[in-house]
Amino acid sequence: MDLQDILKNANANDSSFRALYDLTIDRVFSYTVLRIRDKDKAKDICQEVYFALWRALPKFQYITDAHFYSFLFMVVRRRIIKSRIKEHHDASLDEIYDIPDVEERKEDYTFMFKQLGNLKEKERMVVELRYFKDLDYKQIASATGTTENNARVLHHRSISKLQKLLKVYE
Amino acid sequence: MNKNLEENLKNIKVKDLSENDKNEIWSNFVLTKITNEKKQQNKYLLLFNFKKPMIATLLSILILLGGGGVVVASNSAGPGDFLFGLDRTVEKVQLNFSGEGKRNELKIKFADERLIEAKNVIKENKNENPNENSLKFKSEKQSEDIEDSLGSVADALENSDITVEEKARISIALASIMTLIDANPDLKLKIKTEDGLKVEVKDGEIKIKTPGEEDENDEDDVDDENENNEDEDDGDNEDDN
Repeated sequence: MDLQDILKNANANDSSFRALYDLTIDRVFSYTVLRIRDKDKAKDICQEVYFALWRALPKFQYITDAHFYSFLFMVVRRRIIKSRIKEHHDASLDEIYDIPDVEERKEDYTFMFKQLGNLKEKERMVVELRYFKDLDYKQIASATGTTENNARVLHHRSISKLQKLLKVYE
Repeated sequence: MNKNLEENLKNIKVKDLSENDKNEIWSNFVLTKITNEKKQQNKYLLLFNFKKPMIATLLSILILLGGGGVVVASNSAGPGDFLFGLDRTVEKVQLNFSGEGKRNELKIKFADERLIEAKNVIKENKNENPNENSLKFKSEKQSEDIEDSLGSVADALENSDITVEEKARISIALASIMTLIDANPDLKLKIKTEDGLKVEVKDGEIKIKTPGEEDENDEDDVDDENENNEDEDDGDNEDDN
C-alpha cells in the first residue's frame, strides 16, 4: 500500500494510522532525537507528534509524498518548539548513536560532536541527517523546512565550517 | 579526524528505535487519543447536564439579537397564523433546555398562553359571525391549531407535576373555552386529571371537585360516560344531543 492509500484511510481506522506510523516513526524519531539529544524526551515528543498528526490529518490534502513529509516535519518542528526544550541534553554517545569503533576513538568522536554543537542548529541538522540517517537532499529539505538547493548549500557550508573548527583545535 | 571527516561522519548512525520503543510510543499515542475522545464526550455531556441554563440564556440572547426577529414575532403568533408552528417549536426548545423546577413553571406559562390565544381567536370568530350558534374557524389550519393548543394544555394537566391548585385554574379556563367553542346551552363537559381533580360543565355552570371531595353524581356520571363513549374519546367533550 502506498502513502496516498494509507493517508486516505488513516483517520477512518487505527490499522491504517498504524501503517502510517510504522512508515514514518524512524525518520520522525531520528530527527527529534538529533534535535534534542535526549531519547526519553524524544519518545514523548513523538507520541505528541502522532496525536497532533491524527487530529490534523482530516484537513490535510495529499498532493505528493514530499508534500506530506513537509507537512509531517512541520508538525514535528512545532511540537519540539512547543515542548520548550531549549537546553541540549548531553546524552552519552551510545545512547543515541551506533558507532562501530567508539571505544577505541571515543575522544575523537566526543571532540567532533562538541564541534558539531558549535554549528548553527539548521547546519548541524543537515549534516546529521545527511550522514547519520542517510537522507538525500530532498528528504533533508522536507525535514528541515527548506528547499533542496538550500539543503545542498547548507550542507557544503556546514562541512567547511566543521573542517575549520576541527583544524583550529587539532 | 579532519582528513577523513566525511568518512568518519558516515560511520556514525542514529540508533533506530527498538520494536519495544515503537510499541511504547504507539501505546501512549492510543492512550492519549482515547483519553481525548473521552474528554470530548464528557465535555458534551457536561454541556447538556450542567449548562442547560446557559444554553437557554444563549438561545434567548440569540433570539433577542441577531436573526431572532422572526422568532420574536412568532411569539405573538396565534392559532392559524403562519408563525404559530415556530412559536410552539421555540416553546418546546425552551422546555427541553430548562431545569426540572423551571420546566413545570414554563408548562403552566405555556398552557396559559395557549388558553389566552385560543380564547382570543374564538371570541374574534364569534364577533365576526354573531348569528352562528356553533363556532366557525377561519381556516382548517386555525381549527387544527386550536385543537393542537387545547390538546397540549390537556397534556400539561396530565403529565406535569404542577400543583392541584394550578391544575384546577387551568382546567376551569379550558372548560370555559370549550363552552365557547360550542354555544349549545345543554353542553356537558368533564375534565379529569390523574390526581382526581374534576372540572365539570353542566347546565351552563362550571363545577370543580378537588381530590377527596365526594362525588354526589357519580352514578349520573357513569351513565353519561356510557351514553357518550365516542365523545369521551375525542376529548372529554360530552354532548347529549
